Amino acid sequence: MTERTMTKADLVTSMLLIVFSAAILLMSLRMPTMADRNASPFSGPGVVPAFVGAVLFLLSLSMLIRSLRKGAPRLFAEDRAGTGTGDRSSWVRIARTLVLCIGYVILLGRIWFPLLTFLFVFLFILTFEYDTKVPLTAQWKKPLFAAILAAVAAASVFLVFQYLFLVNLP
Amino acid sequence: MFEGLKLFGEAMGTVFTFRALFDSLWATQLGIIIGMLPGLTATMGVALLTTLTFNMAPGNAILILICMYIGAIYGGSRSAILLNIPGTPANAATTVDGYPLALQGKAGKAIGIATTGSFLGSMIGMLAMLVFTPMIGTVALSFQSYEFVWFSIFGIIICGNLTAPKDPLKGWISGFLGLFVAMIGMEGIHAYVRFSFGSTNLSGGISLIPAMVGAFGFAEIISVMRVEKYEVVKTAIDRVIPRLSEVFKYWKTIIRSGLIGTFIGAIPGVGEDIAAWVSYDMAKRGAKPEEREKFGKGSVEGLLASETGNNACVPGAIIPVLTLAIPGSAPAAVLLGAMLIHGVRPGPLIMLEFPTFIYEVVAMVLLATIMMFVLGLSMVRPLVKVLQVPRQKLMPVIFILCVVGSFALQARLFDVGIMIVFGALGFILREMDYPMAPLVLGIILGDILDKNLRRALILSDGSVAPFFTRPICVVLGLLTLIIVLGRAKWFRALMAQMFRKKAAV
Repeated sequence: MTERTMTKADLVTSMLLIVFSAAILLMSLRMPTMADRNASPFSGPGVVPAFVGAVLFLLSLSMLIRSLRKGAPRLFAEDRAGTGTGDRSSWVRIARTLVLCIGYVILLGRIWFPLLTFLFVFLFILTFEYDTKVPLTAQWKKPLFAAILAAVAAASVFLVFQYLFLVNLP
Repeated sequence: MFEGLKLFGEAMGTVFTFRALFDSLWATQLGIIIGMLPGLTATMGVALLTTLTFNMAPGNAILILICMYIGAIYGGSRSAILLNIPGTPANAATTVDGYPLALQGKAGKAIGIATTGSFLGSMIGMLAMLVFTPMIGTVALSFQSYEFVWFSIFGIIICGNLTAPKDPLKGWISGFLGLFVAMIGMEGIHAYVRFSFGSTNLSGGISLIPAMVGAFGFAEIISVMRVEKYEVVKTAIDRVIPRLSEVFKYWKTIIRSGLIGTFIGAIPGVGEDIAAWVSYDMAKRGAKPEEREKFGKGSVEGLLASETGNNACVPGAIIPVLTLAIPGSAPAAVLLGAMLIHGVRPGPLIMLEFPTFIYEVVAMVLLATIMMFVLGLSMVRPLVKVLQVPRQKLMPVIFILCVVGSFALQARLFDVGIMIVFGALGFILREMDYPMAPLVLGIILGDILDKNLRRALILSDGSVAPFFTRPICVVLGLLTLIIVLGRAKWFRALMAQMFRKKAAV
């Protein structure tokens, strides 16, 4: 991240953090003090979260002030006029990884674990290796090897954890 | 003193069994491989193995985790030397001189030097552990809630300061976010459920291991997958076993780096990466002028300094785990979590409750160090092949391990969700230069802070005076204040002015 984008990101995150920490502080202050149960008010469950929320609030506030001093709003205005060019291909790769992984987790417990794992590894490898512009006949080895690797991975994870480490599987 | 040696001897007898040799062999080798692979860190390795070994006897499980920890921190030097990519963050300083050495065709020599440096560093750290852990443990017995409150705050502040040297504000924010995460769920004094929003799963709190697997595993997978690919340096690996004279020429650097590494390890949350950089920097300053020229261009001394420093940090980081239940680094935080899972309660009472355990851990570190040295000098060439496995084939398997690892502990899918959330959050935070170590430290210290701050206030009936009058509190409080103020421009200007005046007088 360049310093310019970092200053802009800091402005946004500091504002989010201020809201977040203020919420922590308010919720903590609303917690019961337990004084009605003859407990010391200093033992109340809200004492420490309130402290954490207050410190977090001060820290985010100082970050907000710092990014304002660095002229973050001006940077936003300037960049809106121009075009923001980012490294698109890396974002596509991140998005693919996230979709595959989150999809796997969502389906967990709904599909038999070894089958789901096989599908996940197979699709993961193909997503990053398979070139849609090249005909299948020229790259038929890729899906084949992906399937073999996925089968080996799914089977070994299942057997090793189920029978060797005696671990619960989803 | 002699009592300690006797206990250590007995502990060696307990730890060094055939089963332990076998376990340490595979665990250290696995650690080296995990450390070697960019994107798989020591923290993730220890976290994953924690969940996989929780059905084992405590002694075996903790030995395996220590072997993984030591192996991974050392293993990272391989990719640092061969790929110019640190295998774990701890090996970032190793790339500076390791990679130039590989480019000069001395990859084998560089690996040998790194192995020897790691071995010696780990040994120095182990000796420090043997001497200082019981001493600190005895002193820690006199600590009360007031001291623990200051320890938690000081830990967050110094960890944030050192892990985010460019912008400590982000380090501190990360630490306090960690403290908040620890607040979620049922608290320990009145059993009041905080920040759960009616969710039964959240009222149990956020478990450390899934959060760590997410922040260090899933987040790494995302950042590894985003880059196109990396190249392996094609070099013939020559003689790996270094000549003794080549290493012992730099005995001063070895001892200095070992001590620096151990000391930095013992500071809460400040881990191997900082240890390696500081020891590298110190070696550069202390080097002879003709040697200093070579730093950054393939200096043996520089490589030795960073690898000795990061491995010395490992035993150093375990010292506060055992004596104060405060982790010295992120992998040590997981180790602490693992000890708690296995029913060992580290902390000031350890000298009373489990007096032999400290020495057993030292013996485990010794066994792991020896294994690392032997494995590090053998099987170098076949292991380089591991680095050639394409990421798109490796990462899905690692992700499955992350899922199984976070699920295994309590058999609930909620923990897998926690892993995903912390992974995504960790990735975003890291993109914006927020360090992860203070966050992890915060999750651990949150509980300590929560119980002790309230206990202290009950004891003093609401008065904050004891926090500022007890001797250790005063020291910790002043240190915290100096670290925070030291970052403010006006304070630095004031200090500079004062010193100038003094000099003028």
